[in-house]
Amino acid sequence: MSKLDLIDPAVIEQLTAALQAAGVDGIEITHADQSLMIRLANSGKDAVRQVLSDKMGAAGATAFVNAPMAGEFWPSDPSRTSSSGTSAADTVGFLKVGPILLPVKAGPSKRLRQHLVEPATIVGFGDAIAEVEPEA
Amino acid sequence: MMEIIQTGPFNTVQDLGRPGFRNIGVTSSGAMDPLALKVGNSLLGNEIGAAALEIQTYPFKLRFSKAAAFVVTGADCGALIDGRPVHPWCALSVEAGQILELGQPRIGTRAYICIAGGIDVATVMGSRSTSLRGAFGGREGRYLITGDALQLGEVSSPLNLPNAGLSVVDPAYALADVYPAHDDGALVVRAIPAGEHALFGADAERFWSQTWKISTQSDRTGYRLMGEPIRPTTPVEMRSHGVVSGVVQVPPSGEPIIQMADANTAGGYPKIAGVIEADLWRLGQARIGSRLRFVRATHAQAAEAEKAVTVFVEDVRRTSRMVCGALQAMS
Repeated sequence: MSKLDLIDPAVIEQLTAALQAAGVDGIEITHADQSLMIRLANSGKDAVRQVLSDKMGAAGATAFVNAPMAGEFWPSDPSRTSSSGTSAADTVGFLKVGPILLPVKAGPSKRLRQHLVEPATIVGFGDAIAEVEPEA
Repeated sequence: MMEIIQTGPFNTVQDLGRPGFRNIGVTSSGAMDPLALKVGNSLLGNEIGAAALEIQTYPFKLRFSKAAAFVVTGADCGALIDGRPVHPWCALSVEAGQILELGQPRIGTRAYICIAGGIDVATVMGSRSTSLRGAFGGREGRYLITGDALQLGEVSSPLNLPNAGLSVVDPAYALADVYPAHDDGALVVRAIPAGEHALFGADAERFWSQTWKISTQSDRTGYRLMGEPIRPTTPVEMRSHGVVSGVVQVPPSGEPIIQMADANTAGGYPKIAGVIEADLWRLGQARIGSRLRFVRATHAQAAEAEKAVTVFVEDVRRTSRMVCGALQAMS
């Protein structure tokens, strides 16, 4: 039996759906090299989800950055060209809510490894939007 | 409080100006880019017209003497806080001792440093704006100098800004449907024909059709334009009459002058047009040497543009408060 990849967004979606279907409000799974915690604020269709997921790699911990609230995800400021929109180095993207852009940070001593959602995707609270790794 | 530790000349305290005193010769002053001021204040939860610093010469540097929240709007001048880049138009909280630095603008020309609570200088005739020509208002009626310490106002309803800050989309992007696009690199400014438009005969059409260049003889009082001169069909002798910002006068040289925030209160040159109020902020960010073209607008179009800008500013105010509230509730 193959082991679940706890940082795979599809796996997280499946587990979230299973929790909702079962009326369970959370789960925490820990493997030797991965851990995942999902908490649902309510078990209805519009459940608010908080996901914390980590992978312990040979080069150090890789972690997910989760959306701090619902919004439209942009990896960079959609209203400014890259030359004019210089952001802090640890900004992994923005959540656009109406005219407001909420910067999303990688976290202390972390840097972006990859984005996990496409530009202009609507994300919910707690959705994983980027994968970050320790700064070299 | 905050202390200015590096500044060039002509950087001043400005709010939305002091209208209502032109009849006694007092110009209104106020921010050259009022939209940047309004959006900055709205993002911070300030009164929309709270006083801010208008920076038009660089580099500029200040130190916060106590914890505060700020945003730099208007020109993108690569703001740094303690040497780290700050995203344009992004409100951030700072601690005492942190240093904000602005470099030469990459886009635009005037930056606005808005602070939560506003800049607390004495109100003169209902405004904190500096009148450099009148030598009153703002910081002792003069431009800022190194060593100036400025008090900050009380924050009436503070926003709990997230640690990562809170930014706003570029108004030029958000209002792209409201403003005409640049024409071959020239800024397109909407204006309404003014009282003496008809006196210019065929030259009036050249006023609209040609591309003008903003000359070096331009400042907060007015922009003198360079181009093929336009003149009335017969010389005009006029009594001096009231003038407001946005009025485009044509002196005998034939090269128009656009009255800006520190507009003269009266003048006798014939007026060929008036720039609509909603477009004045774009002029406020136009660089000396850049090109512009006028296009005719109607009063209805002017009112429509103004309404769209007002809705945008109100959306910024409402949404920033909503986002901060939601983040606080979920933390």
